[in-house]
This record gives sequence, structure tokens and C-alpha cells, in this order.
Amino acid sequence: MQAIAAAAGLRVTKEELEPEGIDLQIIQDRKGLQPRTQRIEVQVKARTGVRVVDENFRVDLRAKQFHALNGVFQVDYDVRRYLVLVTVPDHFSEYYRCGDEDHLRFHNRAYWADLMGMPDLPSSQASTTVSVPKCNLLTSEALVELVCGDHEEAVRWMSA
Amino acid sequence: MDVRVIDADSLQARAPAQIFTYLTAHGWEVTFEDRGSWALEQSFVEDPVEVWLPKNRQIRGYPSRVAQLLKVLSGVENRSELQILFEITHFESDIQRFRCFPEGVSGTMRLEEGEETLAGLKKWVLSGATLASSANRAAIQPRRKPLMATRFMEQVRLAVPEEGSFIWTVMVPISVDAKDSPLPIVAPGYSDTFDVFNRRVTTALFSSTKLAFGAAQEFLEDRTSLARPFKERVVDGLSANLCEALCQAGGERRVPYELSFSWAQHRPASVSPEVLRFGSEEIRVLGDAAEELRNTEPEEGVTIQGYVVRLIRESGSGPKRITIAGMPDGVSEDRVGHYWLELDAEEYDMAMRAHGDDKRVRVTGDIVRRGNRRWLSGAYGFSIIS
Repeated sequence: MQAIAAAAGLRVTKEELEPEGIDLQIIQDRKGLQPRTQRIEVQVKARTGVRVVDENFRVDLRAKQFHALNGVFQVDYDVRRYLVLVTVPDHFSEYYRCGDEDHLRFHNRAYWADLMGMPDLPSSQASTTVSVPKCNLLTSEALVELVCGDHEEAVRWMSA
Repeated sequence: MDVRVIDADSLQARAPAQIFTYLTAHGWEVTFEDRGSWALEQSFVEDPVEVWLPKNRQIRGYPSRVAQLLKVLSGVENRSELQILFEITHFESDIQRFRCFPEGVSGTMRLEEGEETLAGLKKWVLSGATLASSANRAAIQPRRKPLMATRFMEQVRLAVPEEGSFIWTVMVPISVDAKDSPLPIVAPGYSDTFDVFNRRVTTALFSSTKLAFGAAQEFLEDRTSLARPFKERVVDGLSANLCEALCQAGGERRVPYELSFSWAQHRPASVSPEVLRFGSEEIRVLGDAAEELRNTEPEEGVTIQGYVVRLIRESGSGPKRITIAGMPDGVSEDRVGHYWLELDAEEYDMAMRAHGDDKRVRVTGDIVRRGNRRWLSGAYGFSIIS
């Protein structure tokens, strides 16, 4: 996440008193624009061998983790929240590889899902399975668009 | 003291309205707003900083937002998060901070010193309340305190002491009915009732304390006349009571201290507060000046009650003098003193009867010290108490 954000010109912070179910806050500093900053909050889940059904990753979440993400923006949250799924190899030693002199490779990929507005789980339900679309690949461009909420601004930002 | 506030309950307890009021009172302006939050900036700084404030404290992660905001404010204002949080909480109060520097471990002071300091602070606040209650400016304030002043004293609160080195905080509520406002907020003010008298007291406290500080410094610079710089400032509100209180606040050891003032966030005052730093020398001078004022300036309109213990009439037409062993109204029984006064013939006869019948008398006048004697000058209303 840090690397993707850095490649998108965004800041990543981890607050001392972080909201429950939130791992990182990603901030876009927009000089000369109002508001001066835009931000999102993400819950990051690193998983191996994730099931895929109909082009969707199927991810199990505990009720508490799910309820940190399914609220309504501007009612339950003042900042948009997303789930980020990082698919990783079975063994941690495979997470990244140094390539030639000029690059290193991360394995495998990160995807995002918007669970905001989904109904709460019944109080008797301890966990749920959510879908993360395979098409929601978290690239630097996609991350900027999530943060600023505007495709055109994201394009301008990345080409500036 | 550099500490971070991360107690979720404490942060959750601060309403957006309180924080919004604090921010706008400190020059932050709304630059962006949506249904859920405001973005505010301090536009007058070279490198503007932005903070986000949720409009509703029921949003998830609210304590985290407040914690982030406090961190930014602490950096911008170069003050502790605790201090800022305190002012956000008590945004409806004028706050006077008494920070003293006693010997020993920071955050502690001798019990005896603490007792003296608190007694001094109480007198200090009372001197301001008395000053604000009347247009009369006298070097010695009346012993019988105006009703407004005594009522005011009932409202004054003392906050939990802070460390660094030892800070007493006096709070004066300025708004009646101040409470958590419902959203949407009617910014930046509140639909409360402004307590004009309470604000008059706090500004009087600030201005008179500044006068006392200035007088002490003036004397320390030229060291010619102790009385002059203090007497000159009586007309503006300086009094022996104020000087005594400020001296007592330093305790017998004359512990240095500083006094700072801040006005309720949503009711800015026209007076710009500043920090007044009293060193041991200034505190000693204030004590001496208070004594000098007591010895040389009349204490006006004092009513004495007591027994006639001396009657002097040197000739039929000469002055008729008596001494009353008694005390001024409102003073405890153990502070009986002798008061000299002159009476006319009729009053003198009454005094003789009271003396013969062992009855108490009552009289009003201005107490003036001549040598070791206390004279009641311009005495009137002499009567026997039945």
C-alpha cells in the first residue's frame, strides 16, 4: 500500500488512535485546491489462496471488520472507507523479489472493494463473506481516483 | 508538557460545536463543507494548514478525528494538547491560569504553599469582582463586599491542577445556558445569554493586575518612592487588596509565578490578554506596597461595632474623643481593635451612657492610620445598639 500510494504521489498515515477496523489513511495534498486535502481510509487484508467465484475474490470478514466498512458516507463516516485485499504468496519470503538493478517486484496484487451502504449483519451472525471484484485492481491511478473521487482529476494528477 | 490525548472517551465527549467554536475563535476559516464535515484553514499563516472536523460526533472514528485535530493544533499553537482540550471543553468560560514555580519536583508544591496560594487567588478574584461592582476607586476596598461580588464568587470554579510546573486554573463562566448545540450549528456564535458582569470582572482582573505589575516594575527600576507608582494607579483600579492577594499567592517564600488570561472562545473581548510574570522581587514589592497603602490611605465607609473603652474631654468646648474596642462589620470576632474618633456633645453624652450601661455602640467613618492609632475620620451615624 505504501509503495502504491507513493507511486501515486499520496501520503499514507497511521494514526495513534486509529478508528476501529481501519489500518491506514491515504491523503492527497492538493495545492491550490479546496479542500486542500482529500482522504480515504482503508482496511487492508492480506490473504493467500483466495477463492474466486464469477470473477470476484471471496473474502471472509468477521462481523466487526465488516461493520467498520459498511456504513454510509457522510452519515456514518466523514471519510470514504474501502476494503483492500492484498493477495500474497503462501510463504512470506515470496512477497517481493529484487529484480535487476533497477527494480523490485511485489507479489501478488492488491484489489479494492466498496462495501459502503451494505446492510448490517444480524446480531447473531459472527462473520460474512464479501466479494472483491477482480477488475478492481489497485493501481496508483485507481488509488488516486478513490481518494479524490473524480476520474478526470485523477488523470490530471497522474500526468502533472 | 508534551503529551498526546488518546483517550477515546475524552475525545468523544467533545462536541463538534465546541471544537468549531474554538477553531473559528482562533482564526480558522471554513474552506470546504459537505454533509459530513468541514475543512478549515488558518489563512493568515504563511504555509496554511488544514484540519477536518466531522459535523456529527456519532460518526465512526470520531475520537480519532479529534485526536488528529488536537495534534495539528498543538503544533500550530505550540501549546500542549491538554491545554487546548481544556479550552475547547470550557469554551464558555474565561480562564485565568496561575502557573507557579515552586522548588522541588515539577507538578508538586508544599501543602502549606498551596494553601497560601489558593487563599491569595481567592482574594485576587474577589478584588476583581469588587472592582467591577462599583465605579468608586479606592486604595482600600470596602470590607463589606457588594452583593454582586459575593454572588459572582459563587460561580467561580477551580479546575484540576495541571503539571508544568504547578498550574492552578480559575474559570469564570461567561454564558448562561451554554450547552451542546444541536446540529446544524449556528456558527460562529451561540444563542446563549452573555453574562456582562462576569466578563467585566475578568477584564477588571486583567487590567488591575497589569497595573500592579507595572507599578512594581516601576519601583524596582528607580527605587525612589514605593508609594507613588501604586497610589498613582489607584484611580485606574489598583488597590491594597489586589496587591495583598498577589503577594499572598506567592506564599511566604515569594515563589515566582505567571498569570495568563484567556477569554471565552465565542465571546472575544476587546482587551488583548498577555502573560504577566511576577518574580520574587515583584511579589515582595507588592506586599510592601499593600502595607504602605493600608497605612497611608483611608479605608472608606467602614462601620465599627464595639464597646466604648475610653472617654476624653479636656474642656467643655474642646474636642470630645472616645475609643471603641470593636471591629468592622464583616470581620471575625478575634480581630478586635481600638478605633479613635471625635464626637459632638450629644453623641459624646450617648457614648458616656453606653459606657455606663455596658452597651455596644455603632458608628461609620473612614479609617485613617496616624502613627500606631486607627482613627475613624468623618464619623457619622453614632448610635447605641439596643
